[in-house]
Amino acid sequence: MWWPESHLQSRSLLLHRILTAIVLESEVIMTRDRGTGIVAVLLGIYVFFYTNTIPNPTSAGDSAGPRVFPYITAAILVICGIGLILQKSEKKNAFLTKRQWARLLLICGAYLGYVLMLWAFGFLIATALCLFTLSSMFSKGKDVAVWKRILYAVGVTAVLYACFFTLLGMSLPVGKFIRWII
Amino acid sequence: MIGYVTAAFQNIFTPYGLMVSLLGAAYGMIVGAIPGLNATTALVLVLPITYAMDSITAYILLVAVWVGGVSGGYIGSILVGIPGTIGSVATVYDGYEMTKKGESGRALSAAAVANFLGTFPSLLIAMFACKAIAKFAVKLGPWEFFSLCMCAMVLVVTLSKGNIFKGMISTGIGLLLSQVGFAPVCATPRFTFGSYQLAGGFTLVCVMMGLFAGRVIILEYAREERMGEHKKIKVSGFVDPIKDLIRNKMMVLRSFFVGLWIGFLPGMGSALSNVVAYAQAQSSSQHPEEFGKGCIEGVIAPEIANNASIGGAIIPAISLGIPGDGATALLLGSLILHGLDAGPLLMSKQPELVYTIFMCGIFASVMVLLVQIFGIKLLPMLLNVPYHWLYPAIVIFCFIGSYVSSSNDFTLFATLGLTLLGLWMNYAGIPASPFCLAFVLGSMVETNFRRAMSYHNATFAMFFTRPISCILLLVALASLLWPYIRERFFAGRTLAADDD
Repeated sequence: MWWPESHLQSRSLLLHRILTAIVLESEVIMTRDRGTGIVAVLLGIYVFFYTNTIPNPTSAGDSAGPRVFPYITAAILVICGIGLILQKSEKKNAFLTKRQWARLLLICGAYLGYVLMLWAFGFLIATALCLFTLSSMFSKGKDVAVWKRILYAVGVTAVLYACFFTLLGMSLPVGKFIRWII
Repeated sequence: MIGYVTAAFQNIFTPYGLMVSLLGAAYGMIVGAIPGLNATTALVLVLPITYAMDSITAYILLVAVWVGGVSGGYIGSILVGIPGTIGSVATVYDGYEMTKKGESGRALSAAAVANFLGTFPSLLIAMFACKAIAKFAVKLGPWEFFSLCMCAMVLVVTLSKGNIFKGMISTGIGLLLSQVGFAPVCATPRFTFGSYQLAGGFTLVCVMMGLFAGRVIILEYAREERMGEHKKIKVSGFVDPIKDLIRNKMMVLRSFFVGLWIGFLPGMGSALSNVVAYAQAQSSSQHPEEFGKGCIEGVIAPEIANNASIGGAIIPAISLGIPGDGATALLLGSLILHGLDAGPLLMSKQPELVYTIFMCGIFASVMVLLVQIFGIKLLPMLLNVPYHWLYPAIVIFCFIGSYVSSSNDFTLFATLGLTLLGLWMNYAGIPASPFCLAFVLGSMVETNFRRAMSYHNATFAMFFTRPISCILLLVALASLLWPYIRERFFAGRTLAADDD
C-alpha cells in the first residue's frame, strides 16, 4: 500500500508519541495493578498458545472439544489484564515494609526447608525440626524456654503421627534417604 | 419426606455421631473465634481427617465445623474488638463497647442465642426450599446449568466489593487450575506437560491448603500481627437474653430475613448481611443514637443475620449444586469428595443424604449453642491462644493434610507453589472467593457446556435461544456492565446538573 510522505511522517510521529507516553507512563506510575495486569496478559497469552498444542480428538462427541475452555480462560485473563493496565490506578500504600519483606522471605524459606526435609527425611525428623524452628521464629522476643519448644515439637509430632498414621491409617512421607537406608 | 428425616435422625443420633458433631462444632467455633482464622480455614484443616471416615460421619463433621466456624466469629468482636470472621464485623461496634462497660456476659449471651436463632430456622427453611427448587431444577438442561454456573461466578465477582477486573482474573486462574489434568467428556490431557502427577489435576485440599491456610500464616508472621498478648478479660456467666429478644422481636425477624435473602444470593453471604442488618436495626430503632455506644440490638441484629446466611447459602448449593460463596464452595467440594452427587438430581437420587446434611446443620447449631452457653466463662481463653504454638502446628497441618489427600511427594511441592500463588494474589489484591468458586465449579461448567454442544446440530446460539439460559446469561452480562453504565449515567447527570 502506498502512503504519501507527509502521512507516513505524521503516522510515525503519532506512533512515537504513543510509545513515549507508554514508556514514560510506565516509568512514572508502574502501579501494582498495572503489574498485575501485565502478568495476567502474559499468562493469558501463554495459555492461548499452549491451548493450540492440545490435541483435539474428532471422536470427542461434541462440537466444542477440549480447547474451548482453555481459550475462554485465556480470553478472560487477557481482556481483564488489559482492563487493569488501562484502568486509572492510584499508587497504594506499600504491601509490606522492608523488615516485613525480610520476615516474609524468612518464613517462605522455612516452608521450602520443611518441604525439602519431608521429601528427603520423612515426616518424623522434618516435622519435629520444623515445629521447633517455627515456634522459635514465632516466639522471638517472648520468654519461651528452649525445653518448652523442644517438648512442643516432639509432642505435636507424636500426636500427629498417632492421629494420621496409627489411628486413621493414612500414609505419611517416609523420605527418600530414609527409604534408601531402610 | 418424614421417612427421610427419620432416616437422617437415625444416621446422626448415634453416640459416635453426637460426639463427632459436638467436637466439630466446638472445633469450628474455636477456629472461627481466633482472629485471622475463619470457617474456611477450619474446614480446610479438618478435611484430610475425614478421608479415613465413612461418608455420613464426614458429613456430620464437615457441616458441624462449618456451622461452628461461622458462629464463632463474634467472640473476638465482643471481647477484644477484633472480629474473628468477616461476618462479625458489625458486631464489634456495640459488642466491644458493652465489654468496655463490663457487660461482656450479656453481649456474649445475646450473641450466642442470636446465632442459634439465625442458624436453626434458616436451615429448616432451606430444607423445605431445596425440595421445591430441586423439583424445578430437574427440568433444566445442560444449557441452563452452564448459564447458571456462569451467572453465579460472574455475580460473585460483581456483587462483592472490589475491582471487577481483579475478580475476573481470580476466576480465570481458578478455571485454569481446574483444567489441569484430563478434560471432561473426552479425557484429553491438558496442562500436564507430560507429567503423570499433573494428570490427576490438583486436589481440592492441596489448592485450599496452600491458598488459604499456608498463605495466612506467612502474612501473619511477616506483619507481626496478633503476636502480642491480650489483656485478661473476665466474663460473669450466661445472662438470659430472652427479654432483649422479645423486646426487639420485629428487628429479630427483619434481621433473619435479611440474612437469609443475602445468603441466598451469590457473592454476598455473611460478610454483607451482618452490616446490612446492623444498618437496618439502627435506622428502624427508636433510639438510634445509642448504637455504637454498647446497645444490645447492635449485637443481636448482625449475629442473627450472619447466621441466617448459612441457610440461605446452602439452598442453591444443595438444590442446584451451585455454591454462592467461597466457604460454601469449599463445603460443597468437601461433600462431593465424600460421594455427594451435587446437582438438581441430588434430591431425587440421594434424598436421605440431603436430609442428613440438613439435620447435621440443625443439630450442629444446637451443639454450638450448648457449647457457648456452658462454656461462656472459658470463651476469653480462646483469644489468649499463644500464636507461637498454634501457627507452627497449622503450617504442618497444611502440608501433611495435602500429602494425605494424594500420598505423593509432588503434592508437597504443589502446596508450596500454591501458597506462593496465594501470596501473589494477596499482594496484587486479587480476591480469593471467585477463585475458590471457579475451581470448584470449573469442571461442572465445562461438562455442561460440552454436553450441550454434543446434541445434534448444537450451536452456541442455543444458549441464547433457550429462555432461562438466555435470561441467566443476560443477568451475568448486565451485572458485568452495570457499574460502567451507572458510572456513565450518573457522571452524565452530574455534568448536566453542573451545567444547569
